[in-house]
Amino acid sequence: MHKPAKFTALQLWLLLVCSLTSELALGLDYLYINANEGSASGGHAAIGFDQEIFHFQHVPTGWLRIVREEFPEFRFRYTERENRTIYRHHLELPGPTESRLRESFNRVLLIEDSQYERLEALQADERLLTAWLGQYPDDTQPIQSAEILAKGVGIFFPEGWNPQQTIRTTNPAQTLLELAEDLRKQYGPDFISQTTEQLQQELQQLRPEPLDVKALQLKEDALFSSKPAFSERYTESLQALAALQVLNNALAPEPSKLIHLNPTLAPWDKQTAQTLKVYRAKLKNQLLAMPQSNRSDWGFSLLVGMARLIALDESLVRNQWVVLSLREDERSVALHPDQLDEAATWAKLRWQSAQAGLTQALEEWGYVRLEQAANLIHEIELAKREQRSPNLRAIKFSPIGAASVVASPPEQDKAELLAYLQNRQTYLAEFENQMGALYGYQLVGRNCASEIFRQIDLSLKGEDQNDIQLYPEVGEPVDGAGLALIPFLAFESVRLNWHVKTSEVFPSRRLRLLTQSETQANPYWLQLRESNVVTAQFYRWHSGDSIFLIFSDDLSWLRPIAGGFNLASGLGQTVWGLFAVPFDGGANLHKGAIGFLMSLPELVFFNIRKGSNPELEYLATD
Amino acid sequence: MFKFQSFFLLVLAASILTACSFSESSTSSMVSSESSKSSSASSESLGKLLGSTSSASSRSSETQKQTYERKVIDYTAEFVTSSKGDLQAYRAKISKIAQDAGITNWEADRGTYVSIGKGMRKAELSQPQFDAFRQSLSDNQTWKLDAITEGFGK
Repeated sequence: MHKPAKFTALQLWLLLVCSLTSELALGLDYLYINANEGSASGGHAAIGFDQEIFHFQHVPTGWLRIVREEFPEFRFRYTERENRTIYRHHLELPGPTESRLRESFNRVLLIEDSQYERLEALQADERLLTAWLGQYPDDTQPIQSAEILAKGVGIFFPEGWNPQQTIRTTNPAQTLLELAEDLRKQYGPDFISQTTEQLQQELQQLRPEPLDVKALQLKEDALFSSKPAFSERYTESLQALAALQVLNNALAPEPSKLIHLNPTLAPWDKQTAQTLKVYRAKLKNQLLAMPQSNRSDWGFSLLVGMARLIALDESLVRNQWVVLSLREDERSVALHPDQLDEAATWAKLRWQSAQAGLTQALEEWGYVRLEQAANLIHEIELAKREQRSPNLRAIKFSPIGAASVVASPPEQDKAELLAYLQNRQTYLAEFENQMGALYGYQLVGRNCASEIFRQIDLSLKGEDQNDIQLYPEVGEPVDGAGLALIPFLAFESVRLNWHVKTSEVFPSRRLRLLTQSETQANPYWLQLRESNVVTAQFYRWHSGDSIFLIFSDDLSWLRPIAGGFNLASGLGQTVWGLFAVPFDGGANLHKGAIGFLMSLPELVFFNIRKGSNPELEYLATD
Repeated sequence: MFKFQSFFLLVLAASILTACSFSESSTSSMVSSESSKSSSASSESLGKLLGSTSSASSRSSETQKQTYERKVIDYTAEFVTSSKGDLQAYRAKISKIAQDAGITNWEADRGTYVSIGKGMRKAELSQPQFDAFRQSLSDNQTWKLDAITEGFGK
């Protein structure tokens, strides 16, 4: 039987049979996730408090960004989808110390998110201004229109929307005729036309606010708070205009945006009808209040709300569940065949659970659960009928309905617009500069492991960094600048220096299946069958993984031999890739080179590559 | 032996270089001029727009509500203690947090206002500060005032 080369004694001593729904004890958890090809060839580190996991990811800009996840999903993603093993040390801490640490990581997340949001908004400003100015910003050609993606608009205008075009409706939606009438009764007969005109004027007069580069001082302990950026305000105004046009013309949603559930799957009765009637009345009152809201993004809410109102009315007329489609087909990700039966059962349970919220007190939270569950059971049924694998990843958590909107430039000359763009570009460059200084990934000194220790230091040692009273509750400080930079060595440093109470291993999918199957099959035959990509049943090779022949993660002294075979296959693909460059643009060459590189460490007993299972879907339970 | 040690150290160094998970992130454009519009740009843009919204399978609704309310509490606490207090910015951020949680109309959600009150309590606002902020957010609606007070008082 194969024994893992790394942490062998620890694994055998500490291996617990963990179900996928095991809970974490209170306290602090330090996690090490072993390496795999692609996302983290050196492994990864994370810290957890109860079910919350914080970890620092290396983002494409070259910075480290904190992420917070729930442990079940985190575990699924790494052990099942990425086929990596998670190792965990658990410490018990006094409540106040644990709260202090958890709060400090939460605060880092809040502050970083505020800065990233601002960065993205500034980048959107730059893109919009650049699109208006076109290729030749300082010539005499007129400013051209651009296109903005706006959420919600696509529910009614799936092919895109031009605010300048007149809409003619041949089959007005009765629901919206009544809603418009009620709106006029409440606010005046000209309310819709006046609000529309006001929005159009605001759009024409909207200007990017000047930004003072010298005043910009990003700090890692200060929230970045600012009014919505120019492009955000512009988009929100367009959404509001679109909503009013839909209302004024009583447009129905695109038919594909509403799904009609099979009554066998989603039974309908008088009580359901009565409950939805009550919710419909609440929703209608909320929609009537929206145009007067102090929120600038009421347009999106109104678009979604109107579509939901129409869906509710169709349900009540047809005595059948009709809901807004949450499907966004950005790409097709077919569900893993092993999960087909599980997904069907799980979706039915989600629907049953959502039905529990069908009471007179139904609000948007409860309706959203019904909407989600309805979409899931519909997609699974449709996939069965169309004889394909369901694409659960295309079913989003909430309505998006994005579509292109023609954005006409405001009334101003090119020189003025160019000045705004240059101001944005200067400010953006400085913003990115400061973000890099605060969060830049550094080969020596700042990575996912070191950042955890640094944040713990900052949290426990107080403002002047001299207070060490709380540290003994955790243990001795770990020097994140030394060898503890390397995730697996950091994990060992924690074991040596902190008051670790228990340690656990959450094995990768392949290792878990191997262990589970050993009682059901001849273990030697099982190991042989699963040792290589050709005969393995627990793994299916896909183009996202480099070509390799033999799994080496559970080998010890045989690893260099496996590495040799894998090296040969990587080399083979590289050579093939050289000839295939004119046909595949270098894809095989790239993959072959990666496969070759991933095989090299195996020659000296290191394992990185383990294969992955990207089709696996995490099925969250309530 | 020396060559082996060098190779070993090279592999070790390579593992440090590539340590830490890379996040999947789209760097596409949300805007294109009409003349250069293409379907690939649109699909990239849609990918970025969708990037922040999880799939319905991957998030538990119960967990999502709790997470949402905690985010509102944390953000409110941080916002009211920061030096700049622009309400437009505050509402915009609450909208983003709500949309990310699947809620399109947080202004109709009582739990949001209770969480706002809890956020103010977490920030240890004085009574006058609390009264001012509560009044600004309540839109003169009694149920919102009550909900914020309930959150503050707990």
